[in-house]
Amino acid sequence: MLASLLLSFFVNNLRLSFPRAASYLSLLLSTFFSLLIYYFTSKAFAKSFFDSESGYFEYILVGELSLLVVSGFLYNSTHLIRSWKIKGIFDYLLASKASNAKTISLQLISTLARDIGMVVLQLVMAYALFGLSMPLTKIMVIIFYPLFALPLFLSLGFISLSLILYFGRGGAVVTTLTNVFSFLSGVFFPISVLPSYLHGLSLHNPFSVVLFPIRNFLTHASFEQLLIGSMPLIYWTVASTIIAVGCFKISLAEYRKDNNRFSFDY
Amino acid sequence: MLSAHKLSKHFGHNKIISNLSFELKASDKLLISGANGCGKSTLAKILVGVLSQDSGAIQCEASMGWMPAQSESFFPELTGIENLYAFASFNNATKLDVERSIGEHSKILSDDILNSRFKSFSSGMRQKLNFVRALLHRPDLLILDEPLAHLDDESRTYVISFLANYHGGVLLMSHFQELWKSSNFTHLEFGALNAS
Repeated sequence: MLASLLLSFFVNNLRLSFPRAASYLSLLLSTFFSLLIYYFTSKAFAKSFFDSESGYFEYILVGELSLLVVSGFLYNSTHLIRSWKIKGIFDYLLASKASNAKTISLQLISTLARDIGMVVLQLVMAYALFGLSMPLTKIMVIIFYPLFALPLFLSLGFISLSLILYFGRGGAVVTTLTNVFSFLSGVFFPISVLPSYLHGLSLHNPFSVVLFPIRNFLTHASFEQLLIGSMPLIYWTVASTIIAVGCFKISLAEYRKDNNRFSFDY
Repeated sequence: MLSAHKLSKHFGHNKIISNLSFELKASDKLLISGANGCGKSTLAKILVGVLSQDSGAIQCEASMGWMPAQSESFFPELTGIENLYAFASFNNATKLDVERSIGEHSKILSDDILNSRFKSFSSGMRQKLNFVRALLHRPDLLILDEPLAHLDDESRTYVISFLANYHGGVLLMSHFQELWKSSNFTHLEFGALNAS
């Protein structure tokens, strides 16, 4: 039944994301225009950071695509708790025999296929229309390495939704933190341009521990170095899982005291 | 099967439940009625584990099925039957259980309910699906919050008759106390229960 539940969540998400055939056309167009922005940004500013325009285009694309799947977990977790609370699905889950954490995780994981599909779509369009040239091994690392970070982002998702359960609000805080992490990890620019007092934070935040090993691998490192570069990811995953378990338990207890104090702030 | 001993619950300064005690034996049928906001739904939520009580104890040895008053608690983009399959796994019910339930309640589960997406349902259609969902895993005890709301006369008769003959215990909260008079339900006013 777990597989069947996962499939149900997947179908529900897919129909929500693409309610009609025109939605797919809209996705194609918005992806094309995003790539167009990256392309001309790289044309305009490449010389500030890189030797070639294509190098900077690749840099932006790698930053965007490496984090697309994992950052989705953060957004989706806050969306999930808001939507399930409003509809009453969350209360029904609490009353059922099902494991709350397992069911929520399944719902979050069910968005994976769609998000990976979007990464692949952007890469294909970048190849076909914007002259991206990258060996297949590099492409595979961009698509699959972030999957190793899923446990970390799943637990960060649980911390986010725990925050909302506990305080009855907090979606905006999670969105802001996500933007701060994107900024610090230098998705669109090398972190060397940041003030030196921010470099420490740039190296030690959840987005960087995913993005930096990929960037290093794409420029000069080997698979061996990629594995060594993954150590911070493992530490982050262990620490955030422990924190997430505690936060979720505490927030559930708080929610059960009064589940009618929700005020969604976005 | 289910006993509540000296339950109390407050929200802020508002005391909703005060020293409430009762006992329900296997196959007992109990109707609790009361004015809006008196605490019937809160009591149901405490019994099924959605809310915690401030004090008091609950003992339950039975498997429970809950029908919440909030009948929109389904996945909007799934059809009725897809929703039943999804929620079956919430209570360890199998595919066969779902098929059995659909067959058993075919009088109220129209093709429209089974095959249309939930977001297009009327209030009555939602309520029927909500009712059947509570029964998927054949629970020993049913806790139903306003099960007759939004239903047409024919469906109300069906639900009342089904619950009157249900194999397990039934605890329901309802405004429509006159409709239950002809059934075998023991009627209690929430106010009287709460003060006991």
